[in-house]
Amino acid sequence: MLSHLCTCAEPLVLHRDGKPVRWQNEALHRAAFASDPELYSLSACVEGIQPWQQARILFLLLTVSRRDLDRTLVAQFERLTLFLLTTLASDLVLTVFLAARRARANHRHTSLSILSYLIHNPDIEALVCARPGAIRDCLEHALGRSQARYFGRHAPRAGVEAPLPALLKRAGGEETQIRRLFTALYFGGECEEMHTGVAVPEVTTHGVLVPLLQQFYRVGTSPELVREMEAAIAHRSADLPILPGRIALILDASASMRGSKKQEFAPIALAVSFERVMQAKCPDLRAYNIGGFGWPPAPEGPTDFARVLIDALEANPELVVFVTDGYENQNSGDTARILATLRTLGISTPIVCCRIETDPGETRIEEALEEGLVSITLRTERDFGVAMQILDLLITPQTARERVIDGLRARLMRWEKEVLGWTVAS
Amino acid sequence: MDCRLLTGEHLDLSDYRFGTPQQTGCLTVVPITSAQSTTLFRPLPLSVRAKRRPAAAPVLLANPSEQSCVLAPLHFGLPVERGTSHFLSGTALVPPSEHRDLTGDTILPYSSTRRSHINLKATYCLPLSLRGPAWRARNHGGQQRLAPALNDLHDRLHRHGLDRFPFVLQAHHPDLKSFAGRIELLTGQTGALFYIDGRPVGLEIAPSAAYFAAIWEPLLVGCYGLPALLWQYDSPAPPSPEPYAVSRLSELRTEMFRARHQKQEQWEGAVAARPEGDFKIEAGQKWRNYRVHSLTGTAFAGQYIDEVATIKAEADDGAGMPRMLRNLFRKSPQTEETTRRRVVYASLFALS
Repeated sequence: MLSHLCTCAEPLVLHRDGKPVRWQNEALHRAAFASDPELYSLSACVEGIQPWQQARILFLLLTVSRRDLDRTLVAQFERLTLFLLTTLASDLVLTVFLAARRARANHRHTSLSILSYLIHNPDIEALVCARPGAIRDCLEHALGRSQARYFGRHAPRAGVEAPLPALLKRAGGEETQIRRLFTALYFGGECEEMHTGVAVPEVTTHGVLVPLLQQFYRVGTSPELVREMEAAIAHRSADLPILPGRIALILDASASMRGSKKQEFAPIALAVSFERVMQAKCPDLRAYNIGGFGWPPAPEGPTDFARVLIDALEANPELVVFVTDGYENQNSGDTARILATLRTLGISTPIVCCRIETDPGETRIEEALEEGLVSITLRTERDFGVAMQILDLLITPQTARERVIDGLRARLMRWEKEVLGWTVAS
Repeated sequence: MDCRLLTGEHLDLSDYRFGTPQQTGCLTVVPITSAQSTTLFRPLPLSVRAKRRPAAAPVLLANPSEQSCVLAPLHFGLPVERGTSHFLSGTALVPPSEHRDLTGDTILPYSSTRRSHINLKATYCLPLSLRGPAWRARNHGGQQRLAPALNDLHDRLHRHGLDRFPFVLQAHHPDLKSFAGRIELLTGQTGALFYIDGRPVGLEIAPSAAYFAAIWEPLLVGCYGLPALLWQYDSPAPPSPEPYAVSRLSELRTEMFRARHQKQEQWEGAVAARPEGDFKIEAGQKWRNYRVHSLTGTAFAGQYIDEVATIKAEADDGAGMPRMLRNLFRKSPQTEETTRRRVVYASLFALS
């Protein structure tokens, strides 16, 4: 689920048919919410999470009833709703509000969140100029259509001003500002600027460590480079959990990991960076190489997963981690047979495949190593955090949940201190 | 792996080494390397710029180089900027500082005027299913005789939601693109044997590793990858992997290597097997001691270029003597001249 949140960038689309919003993997989200609402809601703070996945979490937080939930959990939901409303782009938030309208979610907390967002948003004038219809729909959904329109008609009239509806009072804010908003929406106000608020897709970069290693491969080593690299590894692994237990890391340093053109050495650099971070955080780590040897291993030779997997399993590890781009072009099918044999032998050591994907356009017809394996996609250094958390969950499932939740809570608190919330959660 | 002769005494591949097969889906590629290579040949220029744009302009290919000969590979597209591009129906040699009219050697024109996304600088190769009809129609009929096979290919592409040929090759379809990513071009590789579903479908050999690198992707993706992809779409899903018959982890390694050895032996047998049927060979264009041959068989067809090399072997009459004494006593060295044909280029494909 964490891996999915960080990799799937599919937008939430409202179709013209007016039907409730449907999205891929809705069942996955709902199942995660039902099984562990605390962890699911906190996963909105995971490093590297896709904005559209945060929008899905916000949608579930807004639309699910909180009647039978624990008070502390409700308080956490409100903090997270505030966090998401503050950090997400306006376009995404409006889409979520409209999706909640189509889902006919009229819980009190839904209405209050919508109203407080619209009233306290500093960019509301620009938003009204850009998407007046959407904001009117959201307001009418939150306040009730009749009440919103009545108030809208009478809001600007001096002397005969209609009193503020109770919900609007609860949402807080200055009365004059609220009346100005309704005037602009129902009588048309002057727009100072057109601000579309379109979410700009984040440019994927390889961070600091991967370019340093790429340079290492291209031009060779130097004392400055080594020093910078050690500092980058220490920085990257600072916030990551320590993985207890015996772990076998199988690093694919075959010829296919070389990459090509602009991405030359990017796959191997990302894989080696992950290996270094794992070495820093796993006291009992044993690394195996496929193909090239030495450090950093030169990407050369064929990919022989099966032989190295047997080597790794013979040392009786608690977890086996593959870091690879997924090719098995020589002796194709051997790994799948080995995995099938392990099931018949009753060997249940968890095997994880961390798949390097530095070229987003390239996909494979068949994934040799994904035959029933947990798969984590590594595109940039930012994915290391999620990967380590998943590995932590796999190796110590009993205590890891608490550690993950504590880490995410700390992250949420840090965010709350950094970002000044302009919405008021009731 | 070693392969002595593929087609009897005509096509001698004893200089070539066959590597470990690489497989993705139903497509298997056996890499071929050679210790000898010639840099006299270079592939087609990236594109030819047409001076004018009439409907039926002659296809002229000039070779401005003074050393190397242009070797236009069989069934490759000749991209023409501001004009109509053409697929060639035969291998063409354009000697240094000469030009050649290839109008009679074209088989299928393709235009880029209606599709803006087609890359004029890219080179294409005819897919395997079109190469047989193109071979049969090379001297008579041309495009008209190719039309049924082309329509059949378009129907199959349309059924799977793919664009028409050759635009499908430029559409960056992820499944098609994955062939280029999964099968690796090895360092020094000068050729490859292609198999689809275990059946040999093509043999491609280039004069040098650089030449083969230039034609590798069109061959892999366009010529053999596209039919392999359509085959995969039409065939049922592969069965689930069968576990090895072992009872302990320690036995697994031995069993796996035994299975690998068996598979390797099967491949060696398959590569060394001589294709069935008879062959008819016709000699064609000649440049220096290189000659183009057209090979037509019952199952395979294509063209190859061989070099007639004269090998001088000195008669060893002073064997066992010290080198100084041998030089003193030997009056005139007796040499034996033998001629040998070495294949420098080959493009053979399955007809059905």
